[in-house]
Amino acid sequence: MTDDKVYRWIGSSPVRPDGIDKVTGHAAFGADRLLPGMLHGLILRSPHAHARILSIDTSAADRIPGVLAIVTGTDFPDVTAAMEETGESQIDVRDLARNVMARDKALYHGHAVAAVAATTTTIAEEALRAIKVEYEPLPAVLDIESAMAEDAPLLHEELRTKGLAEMPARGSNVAAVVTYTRGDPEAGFAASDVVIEREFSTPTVHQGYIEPHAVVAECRPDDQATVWCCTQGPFVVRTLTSKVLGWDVSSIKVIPSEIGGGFGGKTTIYLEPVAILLARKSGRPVKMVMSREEVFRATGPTSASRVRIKLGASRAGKILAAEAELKYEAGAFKGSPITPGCMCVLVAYDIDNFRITGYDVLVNKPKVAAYRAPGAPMAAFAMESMVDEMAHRLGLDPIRFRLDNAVREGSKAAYGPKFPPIGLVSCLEQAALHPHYQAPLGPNQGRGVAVGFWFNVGMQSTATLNVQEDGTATVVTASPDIGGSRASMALMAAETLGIAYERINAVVGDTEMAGYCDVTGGSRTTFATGMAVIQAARDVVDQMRRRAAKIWGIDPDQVTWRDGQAIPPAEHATEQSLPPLDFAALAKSAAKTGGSFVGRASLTAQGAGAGFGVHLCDVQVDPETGKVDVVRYTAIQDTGKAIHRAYVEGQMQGGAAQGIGWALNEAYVYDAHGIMENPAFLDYRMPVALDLPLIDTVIVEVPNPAHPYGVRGVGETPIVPPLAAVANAVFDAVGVRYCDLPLNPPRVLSGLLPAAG
Amino acid sequence: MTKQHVLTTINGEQTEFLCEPQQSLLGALREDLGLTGTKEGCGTGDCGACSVIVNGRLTCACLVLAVEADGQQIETIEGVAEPQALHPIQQQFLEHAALQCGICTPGLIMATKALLEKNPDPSEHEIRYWLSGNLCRCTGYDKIVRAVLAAAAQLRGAEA
Amino acid sequence: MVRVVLGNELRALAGGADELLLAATDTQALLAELRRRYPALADHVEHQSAIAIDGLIHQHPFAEPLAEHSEIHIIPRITAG
Repeated sequence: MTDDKVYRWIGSSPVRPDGIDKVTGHAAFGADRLLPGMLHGLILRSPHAHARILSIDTSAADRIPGVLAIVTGTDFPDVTAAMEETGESQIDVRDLARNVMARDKALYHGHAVAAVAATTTTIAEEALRAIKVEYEPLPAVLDIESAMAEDAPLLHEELRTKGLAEMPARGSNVAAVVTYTRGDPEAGFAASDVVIEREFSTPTVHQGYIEPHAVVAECRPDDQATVWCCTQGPFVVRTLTSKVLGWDVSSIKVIPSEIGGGFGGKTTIYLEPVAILLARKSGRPVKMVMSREEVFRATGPTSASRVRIKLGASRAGKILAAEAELKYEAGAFKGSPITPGCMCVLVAYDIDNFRITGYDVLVNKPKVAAYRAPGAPMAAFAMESMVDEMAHRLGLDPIRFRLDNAVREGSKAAYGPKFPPIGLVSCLEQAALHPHYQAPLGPNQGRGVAVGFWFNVGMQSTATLNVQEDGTATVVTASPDIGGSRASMALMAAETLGIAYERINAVVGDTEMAGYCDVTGGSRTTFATGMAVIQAARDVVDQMRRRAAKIWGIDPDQVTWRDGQAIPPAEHATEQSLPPLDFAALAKSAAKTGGSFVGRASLTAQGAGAGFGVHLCDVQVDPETGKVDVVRYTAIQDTGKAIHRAYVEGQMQGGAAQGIGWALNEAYVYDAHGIMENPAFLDYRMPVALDLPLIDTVIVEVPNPAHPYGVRGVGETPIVPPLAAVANAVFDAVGVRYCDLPLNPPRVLSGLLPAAG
Repeated sequence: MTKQHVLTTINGEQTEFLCEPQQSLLGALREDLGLTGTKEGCGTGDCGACSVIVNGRLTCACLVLAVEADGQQIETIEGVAEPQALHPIQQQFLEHAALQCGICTPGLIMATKALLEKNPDPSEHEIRYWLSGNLCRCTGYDKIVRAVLAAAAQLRGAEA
Repeated sequence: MVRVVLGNELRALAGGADELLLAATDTQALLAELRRRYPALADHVEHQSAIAIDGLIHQHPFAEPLAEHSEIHIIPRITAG
């Protein structure tokens, strides 16, 4: 099923409105703001993975000329309220405040302990060295197993595990246990002809956005603060910062700069409240920019995981039962993406009997942040590896086996409801038919298949559409443009108004000039903010129809809008006096006919459409070194209607590349004390151009019935399949089932050696 | 600390500035000269976001001291476009949707410029090899490689 | 009557029931009815849950219309990545 509606603008790939600024260096990102008298702020970070902070002496630093402000945990209000509703969901503000600045305990190496603002970075560095912090080092827990051990040192003594039948009396590092069951798994396994079981692990990995976190804060004497920062959501920054400082949201204005990547990592705050307090104390603008090392040590990352899967199937190829146990590291505060992980792990398959158990596990590492389809890639790595193995054991083609078990419209999702129209079967069929799947493989090469899923989300969006007197229009939203969304907004506005794409500019507003928008994330912007833009455009159309009716002296209901024109009813159109009035003419005469046109819409978007994808991956394994090269890659995905085709392809290619990095090389390497040993791009090895082939894409467009143009959302799903697609290809090439990522040369070689010997 | 005087040429224009002896060229460009088109992604020469061309050679501005710029010819992203027209590399990056967030784009354009000045007809492999010092986390490089191939063809056509 | 299907993790909040049949024509009325009968479940829905109405996920439902035999699932809110 595909969308066969004919559109004039939607589905094309024009140059983005912000394009020229981006290729000439004029676009201003987080660190690009320079203000007169601006100070430079730096953060002192814990040298211990776990330690009690006994005292902080800033007096020597204070005396250094050029040091104008110092803050520590005591400068922040003691946030007592725990769970608070924010725009998006409930968040533990107390945890957030303590992650921004440690209070009694440092909970990971790199945890912020104090901050200074000085006239130069050099002076600020000197001041950091002059701050004396007395620590009592505590034993640290650095992995899931030791964190869950009976006698494990506790990060938060008061924390009790949620989700158990009874509230436990003792503290634990397990913040929550979640379970999902259906049918009778034991009976399902008993009825199965083949039962397989394995445990998989993935390391801590980082979002790896190229732009480090950056902020410039100003604070007036009346405590009105302005924050310029790179963020996925200025309103969310405002909400979270206000909670941490105990201020009203209206006393903080957030201006989103251009954003140099986020992938979920810029949906929270780190520097913003600190910069405001430094600006307030010094009376000067304060700029804070993280180093790459700080980004690695103290922001992001996503959870390391252990996932055990047991799968039972009939000889005929039907999955009869599944059991999944997922353990995700949350870092130093509760809140790993364990719930979506559990909801996603079996989601692609129609299984009558299953049990899913998930554990949210605290360790002395940085608090995890959202990362593209949070929680789904690790779950899919395990499940898709097992599905591959089961197909292999049953002697079935891996795509055929998946098709025989795939969810489709009306299937009951593992997380409960029945699926509305979805595109998994279409994607699998496209994969089976793709020339890539039929192409011969060379020596030491193998081919892998894997499926991925993300829910996509709706949430709040607002859009304003200002019509200019020259017949152009400006779309204003507060959804930061992280991958070309301004172009998508302009395309949807052009389509709805019936005017040329080039006549529309799209801009990103701040928290005072634009209405509320939740973060750009969860693949929601083209879907939800797009929906608001379409409604705002329809509002303008409606106003223009009414204006034309007024000009013509007829009833507004008699006026239709087609191809950017108000068209009078047939009986009037034939008369010379009533030619159609087009958008430009109405805009030009607006001042004389009742004022300019401003469309607006505010909504909470419902009905986000689930996105399934299927990836095909060919690898070549060097038997001498264990190096794995991806030699061919195809990403197939049901995106719903693709608004800007090239940027939809770009999301699919970029997600695939991040997933390939996760599969092959990326990993936090920790020493025995919980200190990350590779906090630089040289050693935290993300894919470079030479590591990847061209990435072919197939866009499947099963329209989402909840969106006017059928949009689902694109960005999250494509990071989900690659981990298993790569591992399955390696299995196909060398016959070894690798269960632990990354598949870097030492790991792959160690698997090959016994086979060779 | 006494500041050092530097006399250099940036984008064809003679430029003077004062800098601290330990300051990087990147810091001087961005903080003192306001040329913030050159980005900092790592500060350790690993990501290429700060790529500039020094005397015709592709260079990470974060690895060069500002004082070393004295007497040199420096090209930055701000000098690539003509007053009324984008450079073909810039145009092809836009038309091929070779950028998403755009933070790596100035560095990639400088790296591409340096490549095409050396090798006007690079293969896909040569492009990937040359651009491997420039990290992009958004695109998976596919559309960047295609944009560079197209820019190379356009420039060859323009010269022919 | 609409049918509210409860996953095992929510049944304790509804006296062990795995399904509730409730009279409600929109989600606001549904929440009011839940609050009357199972206040803990209503709290959970209000503060932590999304609702799937006949398969369509409503992340923050307010007064979404319900059909005569709508099937409702209460699921965790999905956060943005």
